[in-house]
Amino acid sequence: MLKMSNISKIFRTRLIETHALRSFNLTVNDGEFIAVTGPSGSGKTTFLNIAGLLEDFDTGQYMLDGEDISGLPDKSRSKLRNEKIGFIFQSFNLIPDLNIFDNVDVPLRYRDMGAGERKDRIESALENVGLSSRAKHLPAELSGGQQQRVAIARALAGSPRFLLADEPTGNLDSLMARQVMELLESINDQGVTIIMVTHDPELARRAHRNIYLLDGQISDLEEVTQLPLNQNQSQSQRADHAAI
Amino acid sequence: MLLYNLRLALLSIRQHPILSSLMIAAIGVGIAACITMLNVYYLSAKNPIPEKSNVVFAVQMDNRNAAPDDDPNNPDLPPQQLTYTDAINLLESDLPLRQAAMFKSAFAIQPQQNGLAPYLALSRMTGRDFFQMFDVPFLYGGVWSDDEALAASQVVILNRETNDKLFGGEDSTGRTVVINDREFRVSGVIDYWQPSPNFYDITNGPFNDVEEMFMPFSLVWPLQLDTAGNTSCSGETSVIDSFESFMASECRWVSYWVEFSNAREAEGYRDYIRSYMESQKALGRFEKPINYSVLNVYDYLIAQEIVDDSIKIMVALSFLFLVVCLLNTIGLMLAKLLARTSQIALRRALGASRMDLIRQYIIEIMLIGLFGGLVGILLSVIGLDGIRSLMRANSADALLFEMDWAMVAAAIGISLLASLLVGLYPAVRVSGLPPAASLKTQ
Ligand SMILES: Nc1ncnc2c1ncn2[C@@H]1O[C@H](COP(=O)(O)OP(=O)(O)OP(=O)(O)O)[C@@H](O)[C@H]1O
Ligand SMILES: [Mg+2]
Repeated sequence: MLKMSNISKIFRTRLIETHALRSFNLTVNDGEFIAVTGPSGSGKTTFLNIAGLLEDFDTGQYMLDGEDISGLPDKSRSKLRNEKIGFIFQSFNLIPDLNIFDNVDVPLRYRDMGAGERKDRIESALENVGLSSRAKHLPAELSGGQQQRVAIARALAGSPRFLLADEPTGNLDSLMARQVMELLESINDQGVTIIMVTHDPELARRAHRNIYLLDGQISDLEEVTQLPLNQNQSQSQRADHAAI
Repeated sequence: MLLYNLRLALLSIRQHPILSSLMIAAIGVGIAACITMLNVYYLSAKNPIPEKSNVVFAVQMDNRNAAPDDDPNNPDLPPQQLTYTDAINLLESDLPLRQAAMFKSAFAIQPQQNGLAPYLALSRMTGRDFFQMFDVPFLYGGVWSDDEALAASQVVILNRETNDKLFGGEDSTGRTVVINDREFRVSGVIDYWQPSPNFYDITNGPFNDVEEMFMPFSLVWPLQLDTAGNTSCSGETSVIDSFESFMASECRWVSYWVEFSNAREAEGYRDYIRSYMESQKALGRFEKPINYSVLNVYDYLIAQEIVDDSIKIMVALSFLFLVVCLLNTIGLMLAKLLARTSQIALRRALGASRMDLIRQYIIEIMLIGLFGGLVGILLSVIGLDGIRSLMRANSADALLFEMDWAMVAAAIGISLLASLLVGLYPAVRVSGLPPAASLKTQ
């Protein structure tokens, strides 16, 4: 479970202060698939980065799996990131010099894990995304959709509890976007909690719950108006979340 | 993890060939400068006779006039050489375990074999004890006998090169060499031997070659030999008009070495020297206040400042140069890492701790440092070659300035340490960049 209470984040440059998040409150339950939408600059990426322990926040409290994040040393944060969180980015962020196998290997290298187990995990993660045959290829030799699937395999190889995706389909055409979305849904079905930022209302509608960010805060209004559109999800689950 | 980091380091070196070669070159050039100078320093500061340096002593006595001083640089240091008179008198003492007076003289060797032309060669005129005192290794034969020394017999000990030249490397013991139109019997051949610095004859150049041959000191009278080394005279020199008057003069051209079974025995010998000088003073010699020294090899070399300040300054300058090279390398490494910030941020996002990344980049720079060290060794071999050819013009031994394993280890050690220092700042700085900002710029 992921719980943010009263989180605020201010970016200070010499000239201006930007309130990227203002008293932000959110609880995400295990197994949820949450879509985050909102206009550009509303703080979606900032929220995701804080959730993924990539960014500090100024005030508030963040509990990840019951553990208070603030004040944790770098080593423990890195360990949490490594073991509990998987990231997917809009621009895939594969390391161009490493082949697919080695790219998926990266997060596993920061764990005490034997070569055999790493190999098994990499192979099954690649199989999961349908790219077993491309293990020895370099990222540049793959299509955008395939690259994003490698990135998903990389995020999954460490069997994380949370998957944080920042516009994972932003650089893909609609067909490939749909494939990636289906992949994310099947991952969610396996029990991984997913938070996905997207600009695509169609994809957002397929999530269990939608969060609309406006000016660094969750806009209740939008969430309510969007809910009835979400036909695919079970009514009971949605009701639970609406109460939060 | 080390292997993984090494693999990443190699990959990164291959991905940035120009930046990496610049770093390797910068470290290499800096290391080469240091190693070359260190080598020169190390060889000049080296103990030439480590097993015996505290039991073998140089004897010095100051027989200079009160004024004018003929060595203004070291007014308190007794001169390095003795007069013939003093050397002969000291030989009377039975306090030392071994002792030898010595000087070098030039001869013409007239080879009877192989159609070789006559050539000039240097001989060290000395006593039997020289060889045991200085642990000179023999290839064939041995030292002339006491009787031969007393009788000033024409015997010679050849060095290995001369024996190779004259006898094709065979055991020439008992055979004859014609020198200055006289027949000399070979009593032995010494193996390769080159103390560095050449402590027993500092006066004539601390990096000179050991002489081609050795003959009894006693030959100085029958052959009326003169020295091929330095001579400095005190007292009235106008009266020197013959061999006999030169031998009796206050000119210094003989060096004198003694060995004791332990360092403490040198104390008694010092008393002996003092009373000897006092008795001579009574005879009208030794005008200045009594000044002498009996220094072991180690102290003697320090007192003679064989490691001179210019070498120390050169070593310091070469390390300064290395520092400049390293500062450049810091800039290059920082540039290389800053070009990779998005990858660094990505690794952070995937769970690498700051320490993981610092370790990765330190290993990378240390690998570069290792390559730089190897390049440096190569360059310093070339640099030492240059110094060697300069020194050869000065008749120094060709084998003197050579890379040895200690220097190779020093080169590798210095470059690893230096690259660690170089890598620290860029690695700490870059791994501390906020990952979120760098991920966004992708
Ligand atoms: N490193 C930073 N320094 C200063 N201001 C920042 C920084 N990162 C984000 N901001 C500001 O914080 C606000 C929220 O940014 P954020 O990236 O979270 O928006 P977003 O919702 O992800 O937008 P988009 O949909 O365009 O990706 C913006 O106004 C942005 O200018
Ligand atoms: Mg964004």
